[in-house]
Amino acid sequence: MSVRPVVFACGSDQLIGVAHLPDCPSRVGVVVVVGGPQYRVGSHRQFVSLGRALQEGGFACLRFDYRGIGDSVAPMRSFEGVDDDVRAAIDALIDAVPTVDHVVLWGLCDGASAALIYAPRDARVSGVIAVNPWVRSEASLAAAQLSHYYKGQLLSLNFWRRLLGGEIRIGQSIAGLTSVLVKRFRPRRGGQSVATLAQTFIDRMGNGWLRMRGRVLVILSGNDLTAREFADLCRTQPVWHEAVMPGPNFVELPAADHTFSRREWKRSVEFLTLEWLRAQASSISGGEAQKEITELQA
Amino acid sequence: MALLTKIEAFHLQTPLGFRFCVLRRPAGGDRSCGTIIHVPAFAEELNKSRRMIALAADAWAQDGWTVLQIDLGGCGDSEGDLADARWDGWLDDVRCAHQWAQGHGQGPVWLWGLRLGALLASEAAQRFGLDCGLLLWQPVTSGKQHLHQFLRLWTGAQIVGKAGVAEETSPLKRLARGEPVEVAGYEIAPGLAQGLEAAQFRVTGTSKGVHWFHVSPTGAMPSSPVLERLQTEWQAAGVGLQVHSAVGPSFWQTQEIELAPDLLMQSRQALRRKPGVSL
Repeated sequence: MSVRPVVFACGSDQLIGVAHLPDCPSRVGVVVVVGGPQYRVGSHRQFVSLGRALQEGGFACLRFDYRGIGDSVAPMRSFEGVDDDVRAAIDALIDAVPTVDHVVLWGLCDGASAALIYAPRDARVSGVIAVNPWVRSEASLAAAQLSHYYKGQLLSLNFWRRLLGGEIRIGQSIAGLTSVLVKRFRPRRGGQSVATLAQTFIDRMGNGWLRMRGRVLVILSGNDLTAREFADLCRTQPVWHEAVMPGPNFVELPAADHTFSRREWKRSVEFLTLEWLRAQASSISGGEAQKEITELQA
Repeated sequence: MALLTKIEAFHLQTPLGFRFCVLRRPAGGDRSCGTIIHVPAFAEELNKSRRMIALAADAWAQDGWTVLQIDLGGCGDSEGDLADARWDGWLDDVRCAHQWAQGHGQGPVWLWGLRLGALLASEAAQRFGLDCGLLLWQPVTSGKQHLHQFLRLWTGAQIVGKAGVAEETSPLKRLARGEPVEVAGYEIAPGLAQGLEAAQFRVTGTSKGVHWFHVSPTGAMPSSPVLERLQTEWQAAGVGLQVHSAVGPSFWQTQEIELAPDLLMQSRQALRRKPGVSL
């Protein structure tokens, strides 16, 4: 087993990654797509720990900094624009372990969003592990603020009297909140979407989710606003219903926070990841064996 | 587009295991002003500052320096777990990086420390009599204070009601009882805590000079009894100390990734000057 630093190109930029290489790697490899303000190490070395656990479990893993984060000096970019980076990382993993022919993208927060957006564009991607996926829009944030800050006030007649009378200044968040209320109580018209930028990335995620159906593991933390916003989306958007349905492809860790900042939460995520990867690896082998038998019979 | 700098990543083998390193050099390769070794900040401050450090390292490589970033044992991408890390081990990591610089580079060596890394760099320079200059960014002057501030994250977690925290004894008490603690996902052993508590800035006699940078939103220089004491001590020891103040955010602890261009610009200018000359 070894851990190997790798430097690889993405366009004219150089990216740095760390590959965890088991002695006898599975044909399924993992690329970690980092989210939030983190780099390839993760909060409290979460991704280092994950990489080591995967390596122990026989799965090769590459953690890397896409352009604009961590050790990359390229200009910063949004998670919506990292397709080329993820592709370059998959190339780098397969370069390091040529026997890997299926790749699972493992992403936390907006890394999960980036993974879902990218997944359907690359036939090598056989699955996505989406952890606390980021689906924040003005509407979801306002809804979260609604439940957190204004819950009590909304039931007060006085609040509405003051709001409508212009006594309460409508700041951006309240404006968002009002539009949520309007949207929420307006009859839904067959899947029509409002073309805001925020919804565009959620639409792209939804597209990835549909195309990867049955091959996405969703892990949510119980104590995390980002996870709550995602669960809300899944409840209100029919396309996403299945993402949080009980079964092998959805797990919630009730006590955990956004980055799984306790040893037992970190270990749980590693365990769940490994179990799911093993099932994926055996279904890939099983599927191919079945195909061979069918071909032989034909 | 031609690359201005060349980047490598490798494992530096040390007696305590491999240490992940990033090396940046001018792409031309023929001129080298010397080697700058980055000694990183502690815990989440390392993560938050990573981009600022990368940009600074790249800028110095463009200026003709060889820049080595080392991850300390149990930190970043280096071998081991933080739970097994000790202050003495980290001091030795700095020594190994310095040794590497002397074996592979030409010209002077600068230890460039951020926050706790600045304190570590100064102590390593003194303990091992390293031939180097010190470039210090927002130095932590008391390891004890820094540790206690870090442990306060636990109190914060307790206030916001993170599960599992409420019933525990405070981390300071547990460390005092000789138990390891987990704070904000970082596991700290009593051994590391003791090392941190004992760490103090030391006068270094072998220095090529010290550039001490303070960063704040206004660029103001706060009065610091520790710095005043060090200035007196270093002057008496004949060490050239230059204190600078830069305008910028506390990029090592901001919520989102932020940068301090003024700090970098002033630091580049400082290293272009003849080292060791007092203002």
